[in-house]
Amino acid sequence: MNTLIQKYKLVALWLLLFFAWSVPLFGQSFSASVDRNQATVGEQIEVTFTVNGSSGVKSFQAPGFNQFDVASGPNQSTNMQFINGAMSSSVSYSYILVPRTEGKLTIGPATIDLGGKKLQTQPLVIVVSKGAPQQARKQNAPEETGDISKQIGDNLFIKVTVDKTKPVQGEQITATYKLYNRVRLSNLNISKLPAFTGFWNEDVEEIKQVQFTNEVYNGKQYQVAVLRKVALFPQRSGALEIDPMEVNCVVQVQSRRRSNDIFDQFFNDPFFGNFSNVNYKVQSEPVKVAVSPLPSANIPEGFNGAVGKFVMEAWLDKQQTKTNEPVTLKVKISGRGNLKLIGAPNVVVSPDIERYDPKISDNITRESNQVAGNRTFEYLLIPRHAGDQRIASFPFSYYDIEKKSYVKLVSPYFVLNVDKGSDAAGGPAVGISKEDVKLLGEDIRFIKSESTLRRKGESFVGSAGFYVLSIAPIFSFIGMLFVVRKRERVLGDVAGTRKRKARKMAQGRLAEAKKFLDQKKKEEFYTEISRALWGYVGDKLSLPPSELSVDAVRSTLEQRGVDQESISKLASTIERCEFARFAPSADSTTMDAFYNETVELVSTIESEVR
Amino acid sequence: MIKGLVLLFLVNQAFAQEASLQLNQANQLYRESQYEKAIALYEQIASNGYEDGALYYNLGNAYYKLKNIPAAILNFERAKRLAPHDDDILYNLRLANIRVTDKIEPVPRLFIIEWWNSFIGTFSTGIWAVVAIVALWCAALGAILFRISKSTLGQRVGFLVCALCIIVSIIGYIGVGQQYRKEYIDQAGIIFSPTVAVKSSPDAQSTDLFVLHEGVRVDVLDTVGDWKKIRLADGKVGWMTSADLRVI
Repeated sequence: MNTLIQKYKLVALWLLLFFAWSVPLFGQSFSASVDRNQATVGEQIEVTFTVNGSSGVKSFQAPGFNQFDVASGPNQSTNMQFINGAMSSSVSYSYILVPRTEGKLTIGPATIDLGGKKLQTQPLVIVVSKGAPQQARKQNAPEETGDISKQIGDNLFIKVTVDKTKPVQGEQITATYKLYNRVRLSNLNISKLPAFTGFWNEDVEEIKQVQFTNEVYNGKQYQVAVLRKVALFPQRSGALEIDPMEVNCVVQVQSRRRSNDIFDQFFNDPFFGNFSNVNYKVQSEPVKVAVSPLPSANIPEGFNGAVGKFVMEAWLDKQQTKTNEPVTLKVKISGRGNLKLIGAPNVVVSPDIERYDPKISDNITRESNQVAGNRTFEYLLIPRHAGDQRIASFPFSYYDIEKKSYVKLVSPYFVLNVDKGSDAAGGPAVGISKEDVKLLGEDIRFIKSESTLRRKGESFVGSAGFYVLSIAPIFSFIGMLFVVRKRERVLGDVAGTRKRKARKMAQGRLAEAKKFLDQKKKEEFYTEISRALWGYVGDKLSLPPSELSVDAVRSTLEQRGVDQESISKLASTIERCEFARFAPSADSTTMDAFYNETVELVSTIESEVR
Repeated sequence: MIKGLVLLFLVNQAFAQEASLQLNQANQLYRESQYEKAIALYEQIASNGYEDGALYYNLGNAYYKLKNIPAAILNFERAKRLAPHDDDILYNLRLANIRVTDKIEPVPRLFIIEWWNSFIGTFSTGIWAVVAIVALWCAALGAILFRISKSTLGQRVGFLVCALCIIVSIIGYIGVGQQYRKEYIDQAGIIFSPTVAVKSSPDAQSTDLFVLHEGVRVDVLDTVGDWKKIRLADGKVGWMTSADLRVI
């Protein structure tokens, strides 16, 4: 028996052991869940993968979230429970995901390895729809968004209306911001004013207090208030966007939610009307406006961006002034259109007038939603010099929207009569350097008392006397030349002539000698050479033939500065001539050399003699 | 004939004497600070056909005293034309020019040209004419000496004198031409209108090139009808009506 009990015990123990081991095994499960199956793009969803009944979870593998952005995760949490003494535990991995695209998105299976056993979750399908309109977006806690949006929804919105969607650049468009309301609105304040980039804006109606009127829109009755009415003038062409307006509304919402919060419960009590104040942000939708550019053809002179309909007046405050006394030129452009965008007309004044940049003053009125008024340019002009100074007429052009063409206006021209001011002494007081001022303190030198008055135009140059005296020397020189030549001829200036012609004569005789040399007539050759030399010396030294002797020639040449060497050479040459004439033999080569020597000798003496 | 000439000469002398009497009278008026009367007398002498550096100088001084700067400059310039190196004239002209609005920087010229011009400008036309003619005579004498001299030395001296004098004479005639041009042919003017817009062409409708004020000296290059082509010292050229300026 004992053994039997023992046997059972043993069996029981085994069983127990078996169960103890097997329970966790059978209790193990792996599942995936998602907080909702439908979402919009950009909304967060939470995906949780839970492993039940296991403690030693290893190697959890999350699926690839290809179509989602992982906002956070994995967040691991472990949960342990003891129920009737039995312990159960679970481990969960959660991810916060944001769908990227719309459509049916699938989250793939996650896998887990439990002691060699692989477990997989089922794939999850999430239907993602397009993003909900921003307009009805609630600001409060996220979990309330859906509720209140649904509740308020179409019942509170801002609508922008523009009177034109295809203006030309600079044309006025009127934009009206209206709040449509069907809910209990307890308060509203404009939180974001539109910036109107690309426009010049001018409020056409000043709204001090929001006033609601009843209006039927889309078959429903709304309380409608104009929040803002503004005239917009596009400053450039192209697609422009009128910025949205944002209004913070405090809306009283009937609370439907039972919260565990004791505080909430208290305030949701019917005693408090069961309403709660909810902040709700209303935003208008941006409006696109296609602005066409102004025609680029035939842009007239003086166009400065003015669009509308204008007239121009221009006048001087006085026609008569003195130097350095200012005058004001006023140009008033009045009409309707983009007045504040009008640039100053280019007023060209004479450089003698100092022109300052214009002072601009605007006077803008709003009549029946149209911006009108006038813009005045005041030019301060200071004439610096006396005289009639002209201010040329200047153009002002604008684009007429009704006529769809440019219109050019031309101002009259002005003549400003400037007298000399008191400080103007014919010269400028302005802009003289310091040195000049110092000199100005000095006075001019005194007049001259002695003078030699002459008749005007009495100039020696150009008179007959001048020309006669200028030409006379040339003629007198030529005349003198004739006289001298005639006298020489008459007086027979032998010596002078001989002297001047000495070399020429000698050259003639030498040429003769050369002829004899060629004919090999020895005697004649030497005779001619001798005569040439004697003749040359006699002519050159003005010696009469009777006085011609070697000694006389020698002494005279010495006196005339001829080199001793040349003199002795001359003497020896003459001597050689005498000998050679009668010498029996002399060949042609020595004759040739002799001839050349003689020619050389003559030119040497010619250069040395004084 | 000779009698007639003598008579003419005497009459001339008498008129000249009267003119110099008037001049003394005018100078006296100037001393008494009666500038208007002095101006009237000076102008009368000038319009009678007499001229002198001192006359225009005194007239310019009188205008200057009355602060009529353009007229003062005009007369100083006229005086300068007759006596280019008179220190008083140059000084007063410079002083008057300080009162002119427009500052005109003369175009800088090559220093050699500047030097040459100042060298030529040293003497007036008459002096250059005398230099040129005397040098030409000397050259002729030198040439004759060269021709007739029997001695080599005489020939050399003659040649040298002739060559040098020809060079001097050429320079002298260049001086005559340049100075004659400057003194008698080249026209210059002084602007008398307070403000003148100088035009690009002789036409009132043409573009304004620049603006000049009274007292500016301009060279007159050309005259077309009522218009004068002018050039400033800095080289700017334009047209203005003859009424706006008076020729020196």
